[in-house]
Amino acid sequence: MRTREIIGWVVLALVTVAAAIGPDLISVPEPTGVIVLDHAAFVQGSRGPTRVALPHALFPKVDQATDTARYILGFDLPAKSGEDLFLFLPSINKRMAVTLNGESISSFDSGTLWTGLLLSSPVLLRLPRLALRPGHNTLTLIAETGWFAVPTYVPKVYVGAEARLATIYAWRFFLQNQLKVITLGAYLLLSLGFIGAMFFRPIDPIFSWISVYNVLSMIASLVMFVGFQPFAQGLLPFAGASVPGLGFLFIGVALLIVDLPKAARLTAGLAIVATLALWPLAIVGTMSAKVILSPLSAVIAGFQGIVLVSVVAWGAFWRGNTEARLLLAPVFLVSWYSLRDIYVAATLPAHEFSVLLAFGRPLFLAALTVVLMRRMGQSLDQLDRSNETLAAKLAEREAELAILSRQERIEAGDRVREQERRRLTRDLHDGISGHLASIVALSERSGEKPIENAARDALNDLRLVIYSLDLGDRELPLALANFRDRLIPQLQRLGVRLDWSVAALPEVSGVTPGNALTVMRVLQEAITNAIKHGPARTIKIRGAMSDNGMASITVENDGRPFLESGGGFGLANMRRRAAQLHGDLAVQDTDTGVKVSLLLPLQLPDFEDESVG
Amino acid sequence: MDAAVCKILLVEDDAPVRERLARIIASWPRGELIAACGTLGEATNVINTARIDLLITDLNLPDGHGIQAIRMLRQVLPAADALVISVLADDRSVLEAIEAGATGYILKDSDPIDIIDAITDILEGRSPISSAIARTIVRKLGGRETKPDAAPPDFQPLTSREMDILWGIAKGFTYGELAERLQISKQTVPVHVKSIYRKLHTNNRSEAVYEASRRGLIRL
Repeated sequence: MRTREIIGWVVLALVTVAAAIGPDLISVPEPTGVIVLDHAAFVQGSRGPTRVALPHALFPKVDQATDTARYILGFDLPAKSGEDLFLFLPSINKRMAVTLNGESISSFDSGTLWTGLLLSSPVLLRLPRLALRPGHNTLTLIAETGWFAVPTYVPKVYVGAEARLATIYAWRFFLQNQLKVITLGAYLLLSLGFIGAMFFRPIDPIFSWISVYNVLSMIASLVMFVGFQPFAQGLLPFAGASVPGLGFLFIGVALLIVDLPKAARLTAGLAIVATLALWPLAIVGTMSAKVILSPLSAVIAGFQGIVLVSVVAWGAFWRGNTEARLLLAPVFLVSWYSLRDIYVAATLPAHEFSVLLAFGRPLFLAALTVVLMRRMGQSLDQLDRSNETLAAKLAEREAELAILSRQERIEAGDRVREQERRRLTRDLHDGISGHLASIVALSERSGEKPIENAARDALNDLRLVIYSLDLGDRELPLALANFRDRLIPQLQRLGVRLDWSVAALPEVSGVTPGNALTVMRVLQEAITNAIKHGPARTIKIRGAMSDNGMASITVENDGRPFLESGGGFGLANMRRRAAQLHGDLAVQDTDTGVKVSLLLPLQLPDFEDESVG
Repeated sequence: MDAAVCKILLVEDDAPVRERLARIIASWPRGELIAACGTLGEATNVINTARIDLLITDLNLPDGHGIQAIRMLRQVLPAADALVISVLADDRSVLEAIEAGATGYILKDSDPIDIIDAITDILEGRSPISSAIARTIVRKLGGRETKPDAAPPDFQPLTSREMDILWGIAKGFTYGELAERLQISKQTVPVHVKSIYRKLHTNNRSEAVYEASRRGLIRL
């Protein structure tokens, strides 16, 4: 990962450097097999003629109004020439008229549409046969100078056959003219994209910033592309005066991307200040104003390029901002191109005039588009994640609600049951049970044993019912303990020992008051039988897990076997109750008595439902 | 206490039952029936005037509730014991009585022997407990444990042994099974139970005071 990252940075650096210096290292080859004219007699106004070498740069002077300069070149032709001859100027940056032997072959107005600050055009002109003379010929290049504060560039001149010149001309035309116009188109398209983004996502200020920058910069670019046309000449100073303001806006966009919105707003203020300060120079419109304006704008733009690269580099490396990293190379190239263009325009050291800024800006905008796409992708990812999170939360909440509502229902049921039990207990307490206790007391005093016993049995049964009302799920052991508490005095009276151990009983769920009462009634019946039929001394009650995985409660007495002697009715009842519980009842004689086993499923059926179904 | 005769006050509104219990107590040489009352008013008079060791009271009285008699006894004669007569021995009324200060209960229709046993147990520091009552206490304590900050300052928490015993009984274990599991003597289980009852009473009383002072009803 680390190595790959380093390789990535190295490749990016190499590509960027190549893009920065490539255009100046590689150029279209010069034509061969043609006449090369690299000297001219230079005449400007009343001066001259002086002999100058081509290419030649003609700087405007403050005291100069719009004017022209003449370059007079001579070449010799053989007496007889079979083919058409062409004049080839590799690159001119201002309008130029040409005469051959005093006859005009191209005027200022016959140039191409695209002649402006950001463009330089090649010129290929057919020399009319009739104007050519065998022997010495004179070419005059009339160059437009002075009306705008950019030097006029006059290249070397080539005269030769079309076959030698046309391909090179086409290449130059494509590179210097068409390609730049294409980039202008691309710029326009990308700008439209950002304007769309601004309207569809107004909450994100970056899109508004980029759109405002794009619209203003598009207008300025158009003026710079066609500014040497007479109809646009008046606008060119304004475009030039707007460059520093646009530069500040550009820095603002970069600051927004590295997440410094306050600084970005500050640069917007600077943009307005710079524009307000420079436009008056354009309005004044005198040559001296233009001469001040042009280098001033250039200096500010150069300074801005350095600031811009610094901001983005700081964001990319110190803040680790991914978007700043994406923008770093394009921003560097734009700044580099503009610095380089300023240098070229100011000094013309290169063998020919060429400006590259037109290529830089679409590059920057393309990088911004990548940033836009990245943001969109991230937003969609985030949306997906949010959706997932929301769906999960919703499911969670629904599950919680389901559990809550189930609990609520259970609790409500419990509450109702509890209230009912309280009411029932109170009523029984105050009424029947008190009377039964009275009967016990009265009959005991008068020695009415059967009545006393009956009353006690009735009380015991009442307690059986009352206690089972309060049972919850899995509380069978509690029901058995209640049962045991009542059984102990009962058996003590009869002199029967109770051997009780139900700790090994497996857990039984689904216990309700109804089915617990049924279990207790079965056990009560078994004990009653044991007492009735056998003169038992001990009754043994055991809870355990049976061999077939059921919960088993056995009641065993040590009296004598009684199965043969009947007891059929009680047993039938017990079996019926066991069946209601989806359980089983096993009765077997042992050597010393009878063993009754109640087998219960580990999940008891809901008694009430059962009776309904 | 063993050597002395236990002075008993019986409160029961049902005449046949009252007479039966009076007879049983009268036949017990270690006990002396001070009075057998049918109303709360009579019982109040006796508690305020006579010295008694044990109050045996029904809960539903024509002019009040047995719990009132127990509360009064606890105030006037803190050393005396209280035993509740309940026909059903249902956990709620018994627990209410325990929180008022009773340390035992008997069933109205219990045999004379059982009644005498119950009285003897109480006097010897042993209290009965049923699974249902143990379960109700466990639930109640479980509910309180979730808000320990609400406990009053003189709150007496149950010991872990006492909690184990409560849990075991609530789960349906016999005293024997419990004694075996907890490695204690079977006879000490009801002694622990009496201690539990005492704590419940103390905590209940102090909780009531605490609650009242918290609400500004009483100035401490």
